[in-house]
Amino acid sequence: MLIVGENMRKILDFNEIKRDLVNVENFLAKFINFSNPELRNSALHILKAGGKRIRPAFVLLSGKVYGTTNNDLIPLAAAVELIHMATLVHDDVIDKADTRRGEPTIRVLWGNKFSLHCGDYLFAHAIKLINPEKNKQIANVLARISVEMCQGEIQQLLSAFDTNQSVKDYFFRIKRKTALLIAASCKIGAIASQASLEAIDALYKYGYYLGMAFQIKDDVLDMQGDSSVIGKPAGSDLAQGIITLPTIFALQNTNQDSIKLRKLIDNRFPMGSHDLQEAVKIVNASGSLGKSLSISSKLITKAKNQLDLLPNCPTKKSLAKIADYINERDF
Amino acid sequence: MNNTKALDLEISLILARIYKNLKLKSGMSTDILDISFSKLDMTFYPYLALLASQGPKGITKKNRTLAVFSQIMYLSTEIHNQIPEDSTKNEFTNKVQLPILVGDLLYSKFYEILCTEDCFEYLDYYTEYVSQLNLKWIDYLNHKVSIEDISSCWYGELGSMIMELTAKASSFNGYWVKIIKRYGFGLGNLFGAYKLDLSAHEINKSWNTVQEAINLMPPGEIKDNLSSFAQNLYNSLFRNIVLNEFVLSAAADR
Repeated sequence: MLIVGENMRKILDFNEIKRDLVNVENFLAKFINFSNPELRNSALHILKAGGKRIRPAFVLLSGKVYGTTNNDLIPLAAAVELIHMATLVHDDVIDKADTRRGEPTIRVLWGNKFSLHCGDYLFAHAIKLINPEKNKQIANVLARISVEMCQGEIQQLLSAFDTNQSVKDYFFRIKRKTALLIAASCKIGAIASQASLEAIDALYKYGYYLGMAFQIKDDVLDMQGDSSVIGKPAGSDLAQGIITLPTIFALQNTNQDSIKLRKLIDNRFPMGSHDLQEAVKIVNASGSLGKSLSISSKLITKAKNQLDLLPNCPTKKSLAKIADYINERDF
Repeated sequence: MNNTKALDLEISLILARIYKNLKLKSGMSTDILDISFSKLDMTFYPYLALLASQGPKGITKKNRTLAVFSQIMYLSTEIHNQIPEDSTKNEFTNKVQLPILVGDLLYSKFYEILCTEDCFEYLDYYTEYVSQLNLKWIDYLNHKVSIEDISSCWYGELGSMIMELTAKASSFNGYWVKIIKRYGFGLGNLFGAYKLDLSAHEINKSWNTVQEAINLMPPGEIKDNLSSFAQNLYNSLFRNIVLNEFVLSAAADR
């Protein structure tokens, strides 16, 4: 039996889907037991590296609101995680990442070309797992958000080191990068449990606001970064040219620091890590982290407001707790 | 279908739909790549779809859609295949990062069209094709299969699948579907031999498959159309081989 990732345990210790998540994990382990040894070993390698399993958790939780049986939800939850795994394999090539969750990446172990084919193979199998002929509405949701996720990633790449991007540009990106897959996970669980249209919409919006808040919080943590806690050094996004909300706010200030920050980013940190640390210091001192966290908190409130439209049940309380947890987390 | 202008018009309408799907917020997704696609790259598989649509029902809405999403999926495989194992720091964005993302985008688009156009009945064929192709590539990277195997799986099987599905949608009978499928496999392999610069032996093998399929076709307009398309394609792809054959046969006559 595979162990659910440490972070996930922290998030979901208090709710009723712990056992279901282990079932998803076991389902995935069986599903990716491909006959091709290289594919099997690489897919198992990603699975064993763990992860938060946030997306399958939301499929399960949303389904539970309306009492859907696990047998229906587990393959769908696994499919969502498989799509996420496929994107991670490609992301590691794009980011030239050597490790993921402390383990060497597929790209390091098997190479770029292998990673490409492995990711494509996993995505094709995730689609099979959804059983689109039976679950047309769910297939449609995943197809649409897959397109939007790719568009967000392309936009992020094209806007690297662009100090003129706006808050709107940032929201365009994080909606596609993070929020849509969480929103879709919630929606899928609701559709599978034959919830009303109003409830499906409420759970989708809950996931969307939560996903946006989650990413903003992540971006703030990246700037505050204690590498021993979050697993990467402070400013690692900025080092790759990814301009997040705290940096955008800091750049909007009208002072010498913001001019210096713009120059450092425009010149791609000519003095390397020294310049990067300088930029991180400016962002931290600018007051932009608090401003970002305030937006994140507002989004959490919006997410929780959506829950008012759902029937009262223990799962609804868990969804509210997860929202609070995301607001308060420090890793 | 014997009206070339009508066929060209259909192709241009299909191409317009393909380009619409390649659009991004900031322009065409293929324009941000270093890779350029020739007219043949953009139209080969859509032509196969239309050629197989000469059955009683003609070119159906599904056949046009099949041509669109098959081409988009084919482009995604071409883009992903061009990603190098190593690249310099300067070329990393254009040679690695953007092609991965654009390939992923096109693959997602293919899936989206399939869902929104209610073509779910084709999904199993295509996911199986993608799975087999990626497996084959992995085996190739591990030196377990040859580039000829890749060509057959990539180009041949795609040609076979597109022509089989469009022939069925156009209401050809079982006999015709079987021959058209074989013809598509041969033509796809011929295209693959050209793209991957395979040996003359492979070219001849593929050409023989096409010829065998044509020989099995009942005489008539459909056979003439398919035969003439194949001959034109062969002549344009392998002009040197055709010229050599011409010189050899002229020498033999003398």
